[in-house]
Amino acid sequence: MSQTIDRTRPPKPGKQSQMLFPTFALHTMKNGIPVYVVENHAQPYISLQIVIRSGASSDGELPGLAEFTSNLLLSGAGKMSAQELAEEIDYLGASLDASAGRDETTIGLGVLSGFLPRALSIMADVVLRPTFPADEVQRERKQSIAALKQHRSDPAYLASVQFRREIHGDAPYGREIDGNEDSLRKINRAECSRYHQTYFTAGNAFFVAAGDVQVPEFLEMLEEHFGQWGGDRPERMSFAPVPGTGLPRIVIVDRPDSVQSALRVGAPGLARRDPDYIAMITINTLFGGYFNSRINNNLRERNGYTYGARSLVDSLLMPGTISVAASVGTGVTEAALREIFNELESITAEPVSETELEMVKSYIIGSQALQIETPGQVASFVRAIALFGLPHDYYQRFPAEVRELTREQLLDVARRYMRPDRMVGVIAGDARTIREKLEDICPVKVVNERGEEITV
Amino acid sequence: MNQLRPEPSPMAFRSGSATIQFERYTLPNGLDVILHEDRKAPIAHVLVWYHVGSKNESFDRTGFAHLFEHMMFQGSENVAKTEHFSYVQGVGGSLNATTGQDRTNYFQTVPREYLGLALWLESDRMRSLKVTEENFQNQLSVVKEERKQRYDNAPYGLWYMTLLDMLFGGTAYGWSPIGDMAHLDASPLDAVQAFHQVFYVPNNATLVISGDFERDEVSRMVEEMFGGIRKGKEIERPAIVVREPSAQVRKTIVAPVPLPSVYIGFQSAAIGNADARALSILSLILNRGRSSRLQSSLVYGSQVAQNASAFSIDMEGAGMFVALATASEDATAEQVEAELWREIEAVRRDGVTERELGAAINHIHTSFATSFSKLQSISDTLAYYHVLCGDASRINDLLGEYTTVTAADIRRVAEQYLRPEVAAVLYYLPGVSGNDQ
Repeated sequence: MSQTIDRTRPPKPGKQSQMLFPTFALHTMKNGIPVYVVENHAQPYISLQIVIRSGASSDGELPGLAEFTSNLLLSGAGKMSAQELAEEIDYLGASLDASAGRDETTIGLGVLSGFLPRALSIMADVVLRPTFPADEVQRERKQSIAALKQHRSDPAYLASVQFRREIHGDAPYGREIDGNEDSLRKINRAECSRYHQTYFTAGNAFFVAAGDVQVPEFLEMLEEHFGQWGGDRPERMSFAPVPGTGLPRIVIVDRPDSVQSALRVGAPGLARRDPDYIAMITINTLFGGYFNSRINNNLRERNGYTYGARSLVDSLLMPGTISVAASVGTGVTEAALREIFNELESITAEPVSETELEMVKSYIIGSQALQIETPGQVASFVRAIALFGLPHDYYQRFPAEVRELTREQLLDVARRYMRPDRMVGVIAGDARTIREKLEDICPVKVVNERGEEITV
Repeated sequence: MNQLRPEPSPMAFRSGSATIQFERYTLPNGLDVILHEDRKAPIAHVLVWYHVGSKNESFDRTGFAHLFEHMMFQGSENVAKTEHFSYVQGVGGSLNATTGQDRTNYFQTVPREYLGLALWLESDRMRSLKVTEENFQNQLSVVKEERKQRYDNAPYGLWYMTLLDMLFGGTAYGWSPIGDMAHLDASPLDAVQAFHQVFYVPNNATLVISGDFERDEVSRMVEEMFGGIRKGKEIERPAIVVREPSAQVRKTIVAPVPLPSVYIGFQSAAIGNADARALSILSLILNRGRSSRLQSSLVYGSQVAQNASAFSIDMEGAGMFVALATASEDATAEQVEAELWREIEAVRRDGVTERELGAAINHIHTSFATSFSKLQSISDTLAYYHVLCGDASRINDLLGEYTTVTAADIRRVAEQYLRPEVAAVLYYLPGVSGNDQ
């Protein structure tokens, strides 16, 4: 029957597969809108994204405006009311949604390819001719304020919002995408219309289609529905993080009786286009970006403080943040925080080991291979190329770029971005229980959920 | 390592044309093997379903199946603690495991040349598990933090386990897989080995391999790695007899939540009962899209609700249908409950329209097209139908099965299952914890 095999070591790998990033095509409409297409006919399904190169960063004096406006796109467009529009889309079994990111706004359609013509004409109304009906504005306001209240009951949300405030101050990335009570009360129909007219222009848009796309017919359909769309690209903004002085510091967002503390510890990071970005995500992955990272091994596997801990790098047009995030038991808040600082200390003190580096490299390179299984996944990479202005062969070259990184390069990046003495630690938790012990680490202030300093 | 979340039953449906081809066979030790070749990408997916979940726990050891799932990553004869992660991630693979009421699954996706590695890892922990008191204590505290993060400290986090208790209390479906931490504290280390010996045996497992591979080479590897693992004893599967509540049960949880929420639960059809399909279509009609009944009436019409949802959960010996909504700022739980009932009553009385039925079928078709472009969904669906319904080939009939459901069926199942006199009604109200009723 079964032969005896050597079980003490893993079997040798088979022949190395060539994982190539799938090809995609770039077409240009007559009015200049770029159309990226990832063709794949395995399933009778198409996903189409219309991306507007403006998002919450363009909120101006009204935080939440981009998100509010995009939520209302589906609340009436062309000759259709919100209900009529929903009935059409729902009947097709399709999904159509719109949401704002920090740098961009995306209107996304997912539909069986046979239903594309009907769905596309609805999508064109939604993007080009939203009507912003008064009763819908009122409903959206009410629901957005309630949703904000719901988000704020989540400690991890509170920690991340306060963390952005600390790092970015009044700059656009320091604000909440979903706004605040004041701004949501002020946003009205006129503001939404103005936002739409200013930013929803042909010069500020691109399309990404993936799946069962018949290219010539598809392009004809786009010309029919979007061929008349005009308008230039609005001026771009530029800004950078301002974490203030007094570093390192700890800020507690008070959440009385919380049984867990949600932690964020971090500092200003870099822009998506920065030449150091690949080195940054590599050192970050090793540090806290995957299960086998230093942070997770320490906080979860060695100490059992948390269900999971990780570190994150923003992927944005302007410099964002890098940070560690974890939810830990209230009683071990100080211990967990000290461990995070210890890990930051050691990652900036000496180069990572050759073994760790090799492992993280094959993880990053291999996981890219796993992330291009479906046309929709490929489309999200293509979208990043278009949004951040990366070279078209960026993901073809990506594995080689990762492979060539050295321990010294990673140490250099760690020393520039991950120094423990430059960190801001934000904790959403029970201030009365945790405050005193944290003061042994560095200066502590306590704030409420609006970010206003309070005494406890 | 997720504890299975309450989700609608798998939406796994036939596409316009493509049939999912697979081969199934059984090793002499009882291990069921399913192979599905798919060369769209040079990757492979390895999935092991063990037919054991929280319903196999005793009432004073709840949560053990899920804690055990964590222990499966803590080392076996040739794989040290957490090496399972480092081996798989070290080649760029991804992996996870989940525990439900009826089954526990373990899965990894790897570049195709590392398929052997994944089989070696899975076979090593099937044939041997090596656990120490220290690792056991460590995972016990990880699970405790998981429970706090996802349930105790999460707004509305306790609704699911509470509803299970209200509807199925006294049976092994009366608790959720995360379980009771006091039970876990009282579990001895011996219990881990004993659990492995009883349930983690080849004759209680199904191995699904999908992706880019050579059929003969893979079946040889499976034979080498798994063929010599000893068959276990026949698994005892006591029938779970769920009794219908004799009257409506009501409960209120008071907690620091921002807005009141209302949950109405019913016992519904178990896996294998054809009514489960009609109920799952009904949940789409109530809930899917802004034009659906709950969305258009509660959320966008009267606006008493901030959000609303409905879904059915199918288990081997029971089913649960849930309609839920969170009140908007100026509405009460009572108002929300009344409107939920009005929508349920409307289906019971007047049924649904052909257009609504068509929309649901189109949605099912669409979700098939998206989910079956991933090996993970294909594999899990094959295992689901093989283990829980005894026929993996159902994967190719599902859309057909759904299209046979009529508007009359939907009205009938609504009348039969969604009756106020057998419902469990749960309120989650804002306030200081400890004032539950």
